[in-house]
Amino acid sequence: MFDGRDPIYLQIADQIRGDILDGTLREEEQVMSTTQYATTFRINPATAAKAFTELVDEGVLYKRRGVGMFVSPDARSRLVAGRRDRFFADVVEPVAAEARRLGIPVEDVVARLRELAAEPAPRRPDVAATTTTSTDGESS
Amino acid sequence: MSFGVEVRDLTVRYGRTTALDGVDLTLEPGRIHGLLGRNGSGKTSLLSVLAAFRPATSGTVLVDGEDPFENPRIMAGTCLVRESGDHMDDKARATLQIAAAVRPTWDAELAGRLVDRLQVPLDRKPSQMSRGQRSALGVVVGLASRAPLTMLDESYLGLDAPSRYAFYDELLADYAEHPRTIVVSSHLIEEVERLFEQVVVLDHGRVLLADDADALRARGATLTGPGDVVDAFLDGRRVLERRTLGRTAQVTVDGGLDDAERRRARDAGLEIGPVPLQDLFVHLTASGDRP
Amino acid sequence: MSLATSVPAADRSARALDPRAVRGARLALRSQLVVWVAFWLTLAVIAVGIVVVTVRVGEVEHSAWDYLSAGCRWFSFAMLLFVTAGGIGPYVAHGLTRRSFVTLVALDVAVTAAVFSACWTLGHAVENAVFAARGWPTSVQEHLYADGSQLGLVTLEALLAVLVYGTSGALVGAAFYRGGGWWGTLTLPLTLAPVAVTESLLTGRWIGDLAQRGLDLPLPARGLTILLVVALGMVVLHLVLRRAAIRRPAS
Repeated sequence: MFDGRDPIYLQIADQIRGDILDGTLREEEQVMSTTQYATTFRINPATAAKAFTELVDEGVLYKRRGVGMFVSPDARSRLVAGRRDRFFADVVEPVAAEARRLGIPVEDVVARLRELAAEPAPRRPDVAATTTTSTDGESS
Repeated sequence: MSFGVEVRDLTVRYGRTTALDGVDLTLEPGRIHGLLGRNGSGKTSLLSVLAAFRPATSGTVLVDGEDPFENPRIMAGTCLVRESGDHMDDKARATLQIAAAVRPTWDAELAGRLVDRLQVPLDRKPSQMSRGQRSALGVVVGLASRAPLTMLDESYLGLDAPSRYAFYDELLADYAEHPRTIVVSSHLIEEVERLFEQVVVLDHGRVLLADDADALRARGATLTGPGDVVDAFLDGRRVLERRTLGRTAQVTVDGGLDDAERRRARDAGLEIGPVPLQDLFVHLTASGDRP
Repeated sequence: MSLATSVPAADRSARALDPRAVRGARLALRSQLVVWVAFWLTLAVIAVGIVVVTVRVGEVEHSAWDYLSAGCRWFSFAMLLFVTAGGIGPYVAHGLTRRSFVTLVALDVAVTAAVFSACWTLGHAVENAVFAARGWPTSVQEHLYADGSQLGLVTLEALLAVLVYGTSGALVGAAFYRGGGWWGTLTLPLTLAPVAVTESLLTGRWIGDLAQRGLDLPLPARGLTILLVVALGMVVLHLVLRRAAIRRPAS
């Protein structure tokens, strides 16, 4: 489930952000508890708590005392704004650089982008894993 | 309730063998600590002193602020389960009854559930059990005692894979509800590293590393690319391992890379990879490689 | 001495027998009970066997129960040896102190002595009744008493003997546990010393000349000496186990 270079808590935070952006987690909806995260993914509860702390600091989640963590009312708009700011630097610039390296004309890239924009958006494949609390189907 | 641990300049000798050599260590209360080290690195000796199984040869050991040796309050709140198991050669049922009678924080319901999940044969004596069954009995005693300082010394390694995963699940679930200081020792790291919040690595009776698990995971990096480019980038970094395949070299370095360094490496055409905790451990504790 | 320093000391000695230790000991004693019952039944069967065989071959001229007196003593020795060597590891692993373990061993020795001396006396009493009906003598040799009918002395000797054999067994177990095979064996003259001293004071077995001199002492002096030996043995037991490392059980 969690691998790659980033610390697990960053991966968890990213996953929650993604769930909010694509609507899997709605505003004012409760997020899994650190305990549920810990037992579902076999990680230390503190690791999950670290992800929550980061998201609370960003204003994406907020804590209701004794109840748990909830998605902030303006979480999605915050995330969208943040991602828009970084979109060109993080996504478009590497594409442009790679296209130049491979000799792909800018027109081809633009044409492909237009094609994709016309298609309906695909659903994220890993949505189910982040919303169920069952421990089944989790290997290593 | 959780016990913290303070160890200063701890030395343990058996005759002429030095098992622990001036160990300094702090284990914060209420966390899950990984104690990693190769066989013979001193893991069991350290845990034995913390659990008052043996006296220190010299140095200071404080558990919850007091010397644990022959200390009724600290010993009642400390549970060490060794791989070999320290049970009477009586039926498992009797061992659990005694544990229930003498452990102030014993949870009978948890014990019952673990006995079922890990399939402990209650009517057998340890001498009649398989290694896995003895391990399972140890795990039941270790978790159900719910001791403020719980230490599992490779005790779960005798379990088969499904039982080990059941053990990890129960450990995390119970820890989340009843936080306490837990120390899990192991020389097999991949499977357990995500349980840890903090990690201590012992090597030749000394503390080699003690840090946040996340910090340790980010500590090393592998750089892959043309040999000369990799070498130019190394710039005095400590190399843990170097492999070459034709003109391509892969070098594992100690110490993480900051964002600027990553960009520089990528621009130079190098591929950067993570170093799993297991690999970092293997490189750092490989024989003859001492810092 | 101020109150502040005296309170923790009192607290500590009270903790040596905290309720957790007592609860654990009660459970351990329960498993001992089964062994005790089996042992005394076996002893009774053997006694009956001796009588039956003696009647077949010749005449009964001596107490049959008395032949088993060494068995009673060495069995208490063996029990305490195994309780000590086998119990200390699991006991400390359960989070209890060596100090409270030694206290419980001392209690176990006392309870064993009380139960065994009662059983021993009962055996003689039953034998007295049976032998009297048939006109057989119940005389014994090398004891505080010359005849099985002197039940008071029978009880006293068994009580003192089991106290000492139990203490000695615990010492042998502790020496082997703490020091391993070599030290355990080398220290046998010391760990068995209580038995030697006591037998020379009670029955004149073991050490001839010394024994004769010991037997000349008045009985209360001998009894007190034996109790002192037991107390000394328990102090040594405490010293041996005080800083003992818990071994890895062989499996």
